[in-house]
Amino acid sequence: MRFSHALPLLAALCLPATACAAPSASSAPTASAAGRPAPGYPVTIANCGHSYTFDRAPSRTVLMSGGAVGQVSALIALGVEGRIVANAQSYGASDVPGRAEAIERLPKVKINKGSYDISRESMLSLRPDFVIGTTGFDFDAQNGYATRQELLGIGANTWLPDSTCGGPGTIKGTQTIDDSYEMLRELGRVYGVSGRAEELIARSRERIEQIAAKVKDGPRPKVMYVIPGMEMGAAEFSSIGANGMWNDIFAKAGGVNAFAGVTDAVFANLSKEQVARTDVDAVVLINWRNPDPDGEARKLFAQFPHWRAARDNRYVVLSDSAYLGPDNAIAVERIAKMLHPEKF
Amino acid sequence: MRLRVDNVSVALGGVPVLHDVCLVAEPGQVVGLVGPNGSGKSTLLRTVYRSLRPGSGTVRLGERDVWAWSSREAARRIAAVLQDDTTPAGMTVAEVVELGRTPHHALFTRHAPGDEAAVREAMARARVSAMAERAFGSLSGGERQRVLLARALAQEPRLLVLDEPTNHLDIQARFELLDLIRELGTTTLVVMHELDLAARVCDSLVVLHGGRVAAAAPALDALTPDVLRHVFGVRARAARDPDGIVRLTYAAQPLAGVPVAGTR
Amino acid sequence: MLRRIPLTVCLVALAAALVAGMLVAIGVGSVNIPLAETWDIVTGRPGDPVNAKIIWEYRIPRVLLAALAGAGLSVAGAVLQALVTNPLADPYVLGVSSGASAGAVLVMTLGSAAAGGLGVSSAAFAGAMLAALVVFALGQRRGRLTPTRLVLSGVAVGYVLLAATSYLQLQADPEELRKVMFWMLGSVAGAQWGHLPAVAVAVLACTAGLVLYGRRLNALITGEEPATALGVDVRRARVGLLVVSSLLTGTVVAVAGGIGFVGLMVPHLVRMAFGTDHRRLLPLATLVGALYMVLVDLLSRTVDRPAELPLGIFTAVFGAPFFVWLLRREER
Repeated sequence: MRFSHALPLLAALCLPATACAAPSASSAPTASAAGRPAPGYPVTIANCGHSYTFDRAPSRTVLMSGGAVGQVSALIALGVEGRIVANAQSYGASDVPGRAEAIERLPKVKINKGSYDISRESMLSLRPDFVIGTTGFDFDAQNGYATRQELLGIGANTWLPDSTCGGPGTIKGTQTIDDSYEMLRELGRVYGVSGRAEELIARSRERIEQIAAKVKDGPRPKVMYVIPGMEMGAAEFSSIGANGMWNDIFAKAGGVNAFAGVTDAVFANLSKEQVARTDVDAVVLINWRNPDPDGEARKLFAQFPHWRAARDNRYVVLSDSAYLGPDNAIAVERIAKMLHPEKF
Repeated sequence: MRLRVDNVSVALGGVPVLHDVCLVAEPGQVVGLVGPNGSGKSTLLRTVYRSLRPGSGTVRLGERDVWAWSSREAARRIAAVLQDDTTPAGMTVAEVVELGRTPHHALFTRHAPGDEAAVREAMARARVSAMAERAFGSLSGGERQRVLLARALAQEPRLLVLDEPTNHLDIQARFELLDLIRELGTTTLVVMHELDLAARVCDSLVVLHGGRVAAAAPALDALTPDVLRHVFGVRARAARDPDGIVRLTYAAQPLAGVPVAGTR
Repeated sequence: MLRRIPLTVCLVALAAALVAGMLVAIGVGSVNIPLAETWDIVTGRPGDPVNAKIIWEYRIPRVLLAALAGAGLSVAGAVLQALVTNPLADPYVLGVSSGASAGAVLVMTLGSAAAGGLGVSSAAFAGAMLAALVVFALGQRRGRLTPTRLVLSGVAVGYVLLAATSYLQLQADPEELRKVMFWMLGSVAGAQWGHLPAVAVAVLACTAGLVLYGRRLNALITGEEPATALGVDVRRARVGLLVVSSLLTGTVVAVAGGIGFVGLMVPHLVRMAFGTDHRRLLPLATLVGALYMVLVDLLSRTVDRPAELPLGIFTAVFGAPFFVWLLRREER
């Protein structure tokens, strides 16, 4: 099925910036076994209407959703990758040197084809004490996955980005770089490495501010965000980013999304004609398991030679820095340098 | 029991098929229903075994209108052997005959007393007892018809309705089957194609033509040269031979210029 | 020959086989749990809590759901075959499954408001019923059912519903789509204890009723007119059986998704081995269907351990060649 590669990644891409719901009265039981909490604990995290209490840093973390890398990247950036017992997230490429290899070295787990997740029996047998997912799909019993409640029953807390707690149709709003910071901050608290998290956030902020300052007064070229080879809908061009974190990244990098206005959805589902009619000054091409991203750019420009982007051959290939994760600053910098080379 | 059809008219899909058909089968009589294709024979049968309600007129068995019974009540009195029977080849003869007990059971009852005896007797009368365990599909055409007849007899009917029972049978099997029907002594309404056979086996014949009764009488009186010519489109003559059997003698050529009635 | 063996003996033997198959299916899975420990857990002795959860919360309901789904689809198939006097009938061929799928997918993608407030299960049932009614209406000629016409109508209606389902899928967001696709391929991976009672009641009650109705089903397969002459009110019987088979199909499809060919294959195998009498066929098909599905599900979660594959793939791989073989056999 052509959708199958595309979907898990989408989960990571679609995280909007809606505020988290208030913790419900039904507080979840503590996750750890009996015993006194470790120093600095208990830590309580509100997530998806429940609160989850950690008596110590998780030591058996399982990462769900095989097409995303935002969460696993965050754990690596936080320096807690040693606490991962099984990782289903993989991507094959990264904008951070050595990151793909670091992910590759983590303990792997066999995932269900098509859905990129870990079946419930396998999940329980991994005996996790913390499971991180990307959307409610990963914990939906109907899909054959262990529910958050069931995992609590074996002493495992769970975490999802608050905006994608529910199942289908719960994604709304447009995410920003702050969502990445929020993820780092929460996971930092869970693992007792808040200092490291704040440091990462501060460094990213500083770098992005510097770049934004450089390009502030320049023109605002129209940028297309596209994931070649990924199909999200029926139309010819179904993986053009419309409303996502990339819009925030473009804004900081001195550009504007050429396709932001065509739909309220996260992705635009467009025909070739509609794409041809849009002015595109530059292209951000996301390499998602793509063997030849430069070839994809050539193909795109051959189809739309009237674009300024095609005349100037202006594009940049990014992979994991342009959506939820610890490295949005890289995306901001590389896009800014492509759009405004004269400022650097 | 006496079967009495009075002024039955039927239209199928708005097309009139039977017009004021009347016939009587006295108790124990075998009444043959003959006529060209499309003359309404099978339709008339359907009104008798309660598959088709006549637009007007009545079908009575004894004194009761067959439509006053439920379908199950009617099937305990009227049994039929029909042409488009799809009994699976894998069923055994005993299983097929046992189906005849269906109307003797209420919706969810399992076994009734007398079921076995009735099945055994029906098989004996139809001379299929020896093949009880054989698969229905492994039988010859004549054997199959006898098995279906046994199934009908297992219903313990007062009236048998047979739709061209000798169709596709070998000549020997035809005579065997017809002799059997004669022996049963049950009131029988039988549709037949071959006039010779009909004349030979039936106490009286009802000739249908375009949905109307063209003649109703013992064979010799019913199959007049006129009826044969106008209804069947043949030049022929029926006569009783020295053995007392009615035979038809056909002219060499079919009748020129007379359209064969009923064929469309 | 098996058909001469008394029904009780066959039932006991098959029930024993089913229990054995279910125990194996509980003992083996995508995760390895030693058999001794599994046995301890099943017999209620304290064991490792996580393994106990895997066995009690996941495997046992899953195996039970597989058994119920197999039984339900087999009985639905047997009934539809009697109903239309056509051995090639099954919920898939007659478009009933497609109707159930369309109903369920409608609710899954557009929400229950789109289906007049029905839940996934009720929408599946309603879809199954509607599809069956349309197929029957189209399959009639002058008020009488023509088997060929019926099967062709089923195929046509099935395609229309498939198109509708595809259209709904295109409206879905990717997350819903993942769900729908998973569901369309059929799986009991999501089995939960909470689902079982409704399915169990539907399957067991329908099967029990149909067994008692077996005599009439036997009469029905002799054809519309002969069955009438045997005292069966064919029209009423068909409506009733249609409701029952739609109920069975809808219930099973709602919880286990699109599992094809079971309703075609199992009744035939049972017929060939044990004879055509529905009073034997139905209870035996229930057990054989249950066993078949338990084993297919076992296969689906062990061939690529610890990943799991959809059931529909396996039932199609086994069922489609069987269908072709059956077609050729029917032609003779």
